[in-house]
Amino acid sequence: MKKKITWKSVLWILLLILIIIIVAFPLYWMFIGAFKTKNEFFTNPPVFSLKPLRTNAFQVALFGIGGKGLKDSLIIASFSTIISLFIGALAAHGIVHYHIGKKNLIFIFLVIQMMPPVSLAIPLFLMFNELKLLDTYVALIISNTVFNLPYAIWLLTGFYEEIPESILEAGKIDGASNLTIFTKLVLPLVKPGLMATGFFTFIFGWNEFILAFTFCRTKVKPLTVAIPTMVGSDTIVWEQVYATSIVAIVPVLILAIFMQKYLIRGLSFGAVKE
Amino acid sequence: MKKWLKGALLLLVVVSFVLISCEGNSNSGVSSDKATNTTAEQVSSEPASSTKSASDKIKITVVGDGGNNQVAWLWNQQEMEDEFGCEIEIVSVPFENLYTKLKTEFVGNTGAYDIIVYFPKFMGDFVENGYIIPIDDYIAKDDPNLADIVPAFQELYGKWGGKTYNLPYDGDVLALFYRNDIFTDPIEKQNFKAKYGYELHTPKTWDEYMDIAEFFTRKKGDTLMGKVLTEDFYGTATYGQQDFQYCWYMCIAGSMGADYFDEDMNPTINSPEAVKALELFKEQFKYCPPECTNFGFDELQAIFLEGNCAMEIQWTDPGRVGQNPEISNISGKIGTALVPGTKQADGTIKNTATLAAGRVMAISSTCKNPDIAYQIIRYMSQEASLAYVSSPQSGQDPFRFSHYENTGAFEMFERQSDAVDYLNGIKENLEHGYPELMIPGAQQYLDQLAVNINDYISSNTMTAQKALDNTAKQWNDITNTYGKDNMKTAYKNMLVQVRSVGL
Amino acid sequence: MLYKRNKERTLTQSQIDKRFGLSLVLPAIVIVIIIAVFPLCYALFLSFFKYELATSIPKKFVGLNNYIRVFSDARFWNALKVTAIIVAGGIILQLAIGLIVALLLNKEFHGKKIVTAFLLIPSVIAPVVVGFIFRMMFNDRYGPINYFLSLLHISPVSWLSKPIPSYFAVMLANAWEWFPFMMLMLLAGLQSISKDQMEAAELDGCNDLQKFFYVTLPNLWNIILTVVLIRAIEDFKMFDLIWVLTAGGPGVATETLNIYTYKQGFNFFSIGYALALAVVQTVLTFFIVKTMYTRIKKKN
Repeated sequence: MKKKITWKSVLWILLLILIIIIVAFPLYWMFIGAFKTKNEFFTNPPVFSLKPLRTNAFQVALFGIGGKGLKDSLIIASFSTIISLFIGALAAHGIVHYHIGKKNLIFIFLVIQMMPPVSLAIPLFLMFNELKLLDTYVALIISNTVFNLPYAIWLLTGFYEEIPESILEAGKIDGASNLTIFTKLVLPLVKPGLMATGFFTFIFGWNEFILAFTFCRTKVKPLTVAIPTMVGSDTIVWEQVYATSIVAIVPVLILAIFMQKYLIRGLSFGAVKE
Repeated sequence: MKKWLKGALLLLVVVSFVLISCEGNSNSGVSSDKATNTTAEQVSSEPASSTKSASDKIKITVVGDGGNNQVAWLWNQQEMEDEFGCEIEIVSVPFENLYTKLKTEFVGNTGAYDIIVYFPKFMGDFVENGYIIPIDDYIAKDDPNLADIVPAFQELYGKWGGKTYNLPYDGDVLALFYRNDIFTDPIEKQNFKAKYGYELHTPKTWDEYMDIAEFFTRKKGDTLMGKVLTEDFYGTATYGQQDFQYCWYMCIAGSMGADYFDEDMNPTINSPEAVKALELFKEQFKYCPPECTNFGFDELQAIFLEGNCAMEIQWTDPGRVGQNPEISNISGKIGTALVPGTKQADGTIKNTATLAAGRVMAISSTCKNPDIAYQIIRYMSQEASLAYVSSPQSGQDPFRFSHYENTGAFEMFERQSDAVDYLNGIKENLEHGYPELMIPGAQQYLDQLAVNINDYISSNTMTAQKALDNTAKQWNDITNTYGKDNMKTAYKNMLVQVRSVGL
Repeated sequence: MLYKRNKERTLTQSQIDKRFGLSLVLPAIVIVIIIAVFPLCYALFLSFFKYELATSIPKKFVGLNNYIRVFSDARFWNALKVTAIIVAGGIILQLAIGLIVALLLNKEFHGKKIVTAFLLIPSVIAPVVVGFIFRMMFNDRYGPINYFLSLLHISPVSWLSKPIPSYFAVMLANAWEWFPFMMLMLLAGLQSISKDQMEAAELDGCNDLQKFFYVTLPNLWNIILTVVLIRAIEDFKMFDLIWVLTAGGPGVATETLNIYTYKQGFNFFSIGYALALAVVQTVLTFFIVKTMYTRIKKKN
């Protein structure tokens, strides 16, 4: 079959390239920013070249604040995700397949998700202070779970609803206990959904800023808090900001690449249903 | 079965938050009694050098805004730890959140910080709420050479209600920087005199400032100093970002006699002088680069160092940083002068150089070792200070007469005479320093002012009168929220200090 | 029928099921109550107090005063207007770009996987980081965007220091970050449109535009509503990006409800008032979202 070059396909290629450039340019800008010195940020015309490859900013980003930030972000995001997934998987199963308070619960979870984080930050701050939990991982894991858990349940119910009742019926007829139905039948089927949900909750925990900022001081300092710290009084150490930003992005990207398969399947599974 | 479950849960919720709110009550509002009692007790406390074992080491936590405003602490950390036998932990915070961070810790009574490095405009708030302790007794025992500190700075930013709370760390002040090559150029001088009828000199009044700014605003292709310009040139540049813009405005307004409030706590920020000042402030944008409305510290400095404007009012950095030929096109060509002022009825000129930001050090009332803490801040403010105010790596500005006299320490200047000129210039500005509002709630008052000024600058329909009237009204609302009598007393405190330096 | 006797307890299957189901959901409920419902109720409770932490005056019960103050606060109404513009405009932008790109990607071609993966990157970047990137990019004098405009002989735009351009700055940065999310969902939806419908339309002689409106769009409608709902909830809470980019400036041009509430709470420490604002915002968001939600249910 001959490949025709119509004006349509030319337009298609141009638009695609345009979009790729629009996405790539800010990333490129951030990337070269990590290698600049302060004064190269304030030149007219702007500096576009990549060289020279100075690494001082990266030293701070990786071994100084950034290294600790990586560790802290990882701890907070992972634990919050694990808790949300675990409890969420159970809860969604109960809601969908055992019809426990479906309407009301989903509704409450939706409302919690809609609260501006500020309104949560104030009372939580007072509570954590009482319990001497400020500046601890626990405080941040809890506060992230506040939003992640309802979100996870919401997403997961969508996935669970995909499972045809017939499969569950068949399981029951075969004499499987409730637990077995859950572990042997349901879980394998919603695995893509679990992966997708886990990915999103991890990202929310990783990228969360305002609550982390309010509760952290020195012992805990995730990346999102570390980066604005480089905003000095009158000046911003831009190259460190960008270097640390790159450090913040790379792990998520790697995770996304691995999860891509599940993501696409999981999302189309859940979303299309609506 | 479901019903009672619901009921039980509801009951649980209600009981629990009643419990929490009761606990919340006992913690809020640290009493000011605590603050006044500590000094008397602790002055005669245990000796400074301890024979404690390593695991028992006293830990002092210092908090301040990070980046190059904290490097001075890092440089001196080891030395102080050795000398005072303690462990020092340095915490950094993004500067735009400094107030929030400090306040949340104080309110929560977490006791997290022992020494705070902060902006003096928060002083009223921190003192009235008992977060920091007076240090007069410590000073009496161990004088940090107070006489050496420029009085304006220490009177305005070091004291509250007659007691001393702070030692200086950063003598921020706005100064006028100008291109001394342009101002002394014979062609320009001739043309200027022809056009305006007086000799070209650094502007002594705001009217002269506007004349000069107008004179030097030229397009690409015009000539400057006999040479053709390859890009547009501007008479001046000013601060555009909302966060500190009001400081630039107060330089003008203060000199015209405008004030924040009157003695009865009525806002006078919309007085005719204040309005006139605001209109002049906006008018100067005609002679500034078009992007000026977006200029923060970095951009404002960069435009001058690029060589694209004849003068500008800025923090003291361009005078120093601009001497480095690697980043500046005008090294050796920078002059420092007193900011313009306004002619008074008696013929003298009143200049008010806003003490924009500034940093001071205080001891928190939760500090368990205030005597050691005092030693640390004394050290930083005295012995360590010359090194960090003269270094290009640190963002701190001089505040002691001895700093200004030590011209040799400022190595970035090629010629000694340039250093002398610079130091005299900024000293003069500090001596005419004008404070930011310092009463409790300053953050809120100044934010409102900043918003309205910025609104006026960026709008085509707003008038200066309206912007300031809005500010006055909002300020009244704020005053009423905090309690007018409280505010009156607080402002009276501030007025005492302001009058004592002759403003 | 159930018989409960002391010695011999038999439960029906449905009761066993009920208990099992309950035990599944209970942990979630307990956790949510402790860490979410508690603080939120406390927040609601405090909103009835006048609680100014900048002074040492203890908190005082004032009933609905804070709420009355909210509705007579000009800055609140401005924040409402700003939020509406930024959220609505932002979502339209995200949807438009997401849809176009999804259509572009709805083809098989070499490197499709890589391109799709690449285009997803903005959505996984922290909003704080996106804010810092665009803050430099939108810099009036030294930023690349104005530089490129100058190459096209367009005079520099005051992206972050004039009211109207600042709306666009925020919306563009936000759209850049979130259109990939839209794109992904829409792509999934596009790929599930049955081939038969498409072929039928082709046979009927529809051109591309007609195919889009008569086949593609109706099938996508549900997904569009769902993603718009999800993004709307998230965008109402948008804070990090705006805070880093403009901090609500210039003046109050980009001060959304969230930013204003944060300022009241953490800059001015007017706790009671800030919480009243937060409650009002939640209620508003709730009603808007509920309307959209019921619309989706109806379409189904």
